Amino acid sequence: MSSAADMWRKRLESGEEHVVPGPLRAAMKFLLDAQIRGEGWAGYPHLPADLHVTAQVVTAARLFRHQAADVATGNAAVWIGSAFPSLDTTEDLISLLAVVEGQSDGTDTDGLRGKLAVNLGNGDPSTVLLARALLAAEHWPHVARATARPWVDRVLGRQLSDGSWSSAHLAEESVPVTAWAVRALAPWRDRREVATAADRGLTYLRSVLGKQGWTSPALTGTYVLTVVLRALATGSGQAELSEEGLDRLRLLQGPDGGWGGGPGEPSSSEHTAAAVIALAEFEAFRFVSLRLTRLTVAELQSELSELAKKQAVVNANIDAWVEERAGKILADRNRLQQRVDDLQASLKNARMIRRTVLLNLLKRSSVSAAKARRITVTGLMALLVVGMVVTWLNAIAMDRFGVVLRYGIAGVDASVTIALGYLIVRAEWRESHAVDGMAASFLMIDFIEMTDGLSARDSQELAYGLIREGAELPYDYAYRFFQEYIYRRKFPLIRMRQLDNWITAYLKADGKTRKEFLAHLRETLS
Amino acid sequence: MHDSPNPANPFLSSKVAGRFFVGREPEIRGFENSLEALIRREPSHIYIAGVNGLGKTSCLAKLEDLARDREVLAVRVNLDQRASGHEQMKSMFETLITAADEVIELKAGAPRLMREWERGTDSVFRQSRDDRLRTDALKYDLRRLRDAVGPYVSGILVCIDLGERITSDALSALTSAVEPLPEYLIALTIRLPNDDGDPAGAGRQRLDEIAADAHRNLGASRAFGSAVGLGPFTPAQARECMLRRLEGRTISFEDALIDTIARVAERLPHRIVQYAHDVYNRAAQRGPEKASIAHFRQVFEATHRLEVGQARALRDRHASLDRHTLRELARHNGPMSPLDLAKAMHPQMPSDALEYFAAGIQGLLNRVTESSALCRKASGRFEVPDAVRRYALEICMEPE
Repeated sequence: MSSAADMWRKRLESGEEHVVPGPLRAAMKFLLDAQIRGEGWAGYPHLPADLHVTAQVVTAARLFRHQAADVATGNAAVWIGSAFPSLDTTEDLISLLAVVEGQSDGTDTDGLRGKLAVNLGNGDPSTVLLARALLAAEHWPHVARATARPWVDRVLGRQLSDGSWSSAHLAEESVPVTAWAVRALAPWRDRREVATAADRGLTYLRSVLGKQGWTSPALTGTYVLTVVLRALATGSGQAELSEEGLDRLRLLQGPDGGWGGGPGEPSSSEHTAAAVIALAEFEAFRFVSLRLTRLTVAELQSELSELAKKQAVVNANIDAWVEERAGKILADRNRLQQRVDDLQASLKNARMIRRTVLLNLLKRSSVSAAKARRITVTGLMALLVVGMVVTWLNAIAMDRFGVVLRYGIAGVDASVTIALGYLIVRAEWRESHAVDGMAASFLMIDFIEMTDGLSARDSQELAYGLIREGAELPYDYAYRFFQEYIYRRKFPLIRMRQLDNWITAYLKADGKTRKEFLAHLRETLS
Repeated sequence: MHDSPNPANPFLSSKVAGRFFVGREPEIRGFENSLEALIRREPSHIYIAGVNGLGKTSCLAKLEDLARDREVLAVRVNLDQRASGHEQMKSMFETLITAADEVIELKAGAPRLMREWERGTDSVFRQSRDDRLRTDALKYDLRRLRDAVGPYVSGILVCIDLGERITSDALSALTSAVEPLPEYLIALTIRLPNDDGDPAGAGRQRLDEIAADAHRNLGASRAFGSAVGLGPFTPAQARECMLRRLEGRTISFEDALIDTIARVAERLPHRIVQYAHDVYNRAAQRGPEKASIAHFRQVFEATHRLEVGQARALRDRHASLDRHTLRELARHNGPMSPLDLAKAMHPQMPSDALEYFAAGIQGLLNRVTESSALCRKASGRFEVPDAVRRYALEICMEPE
């Protein structure tokens, strides 16, 4: 897809024409007229020619690619070479390099580049000066560009945490410096850290512009506007924001074709050149003819239509092709999937059944205990009544009947007493038996609850471990054994606590309860 | 400022010039005349007025030195602003007694005035017994003190530093009390809140205001017949101020540095000494050498971060010609119209081109005035308000 897009872009670019729109032609005329004959440019008419203004105008004029502009810049380079034999400042050096770059007038550009590197390396240049030096190095040969690498690092090192660069410790004054840095770093974006820093800078600028707009006092003036626009031209996206700035810049153009320092101010060569450079970096000179554009769009539409047809055919055939080539695999996969689903449903069902059985077991144990208690109470009440009747009969019989009858009644009384004792003992036994069964059931339910979140393997291993160790384990040994097991398995903390609590409860239960629990467990596993 | 004290720094003891006192020749001549008049028993009391940092205290110290040379008992009095007039005068009198006792001890070997003062209600000094300020009591006590110390001195000079603190009652009582006592000369300093170009007149006005509070007794103010209004040093004095302290030192200052310090300090003595102190320290860090403007720039940038930061921000927002124009504005002390500035930058320019250029300057300065505190506009003229901002702008607008 990307290669297709590149192809179409290249196709359009192959027909690109360098056309200077009307307003920029007026700007070019203004600049060419403003050149002092045989010299460079001054800021305003009748001022002496100035190196920095000339450098700015030469940079802009080169973007015109116009013969007159070439002649003018050539003249300026010759003049500068003679007018500035010695350079006082680093800014002078940068401006001189901007003018003589690409001229075959014998200027020792390598020497100038070396001197610039020394100057910047020795001093503490401002971020803007470093940025200007980087811009000057933009068109240097590859080998010479390596000289500028430390300047990039210095600019990167000065970026603030919010993505901006600052002139000083004044946050509200960060916009122009940030714009300079972002623009200067653009040719070095092949380094990942540079791209990241430049993107952060762009985000900062867009954020400030989004909040304050282009009418902010910090952006008043042509020069700062052009600097910010040049920075925005290095990024993609948020075109509306840039267009608003470009419109603002276009509005500042004077009737003479030039730009002044601000709205309504007289035009100057330096501001005009700055505006032209900003517009050029937004590709204001690059056009493709309408004929070629229409032709390309028509071809694109035709190709798209063909592609759509092909896609429809492919879509229609694809199911058949899949059925043919992959039908069996698909059917097998579906069958297997169905089986897995069935097994999962069965497993879930089995778990439900197991839970139900266990709950029934618990319920049954509870019912047995209650029933035993009920029988015991009823039996005791009945025997108490019978005992009372027999005792009264014995008392009455003692006076009225003979010895044989009295012994007979006493025998019945003794039998009743024995029966009463038997019933009490039997009821106690059954109740205790039922309670033991309940304890085992509770252990079982807790065990199921506890192992519910564990994997099947862990649950079974634990269960078999319990069965294997048997019910008669000494407490200390068993506790240590299971603790080691728990920690060896590295269960989640909450699960470890549950297991620990359960094992403590299990080991504190008596041997009979543990036996019953293990019997339940064996039953469940089988 | 910011540098730590360096005992070897000749600019360290900046509060009072002392042996480094320079300039002020007319004022010194006035002091000498006043002291001669005192000795002739025709005293004319003195006030020294000026804004902060002009060397009023140093002048007072110089007056004391001159008085001592003439066997005049010179006493420095510092008044407590919160004290009542009665307390101020008692405090002043105690200081006088202490100084007088020292003289008496030196000459006669038996100091006794303080002992007498401390006897309280039994003291012959009436102020010691009183609980309020009374002119006759003050006069009586001053006369007794004069009688006690008079044989040993040719007069008594009472120097009141920060004289604007004196209460109206105290001023009225003091001037009335010494009026019949020609052995006394009063000199007081008056710190002015701002410089309106006439420090002597402003000092007189301040004295009148104090005096008027005491039942409109303007006589208390008029008693001070000798006015000394202090202004900034002249360029030569500013230079001498630094050179005097650098005599015999291993570190010297470049001429351009001396001129720059004087300019940025607006030739105010205390600011000259402060800047010079820090520059000396910077230069001393690298061993004996000639301190240069580079040292001063470091000091300036460290001291005036805000102004330098504002100027740098302005630099980063402007093209080279605009920076050049702003630098030119910074070099001028006082408001300028855009046309004047254009003329100053290019005197040979034809008038129509000058107007075109001036319109560009006007636009630039309007924008700068709106966005920065470094520049201000009044009646169509622009200026950088003070020397610190001017220098900040000047150095930041220079090509790097």
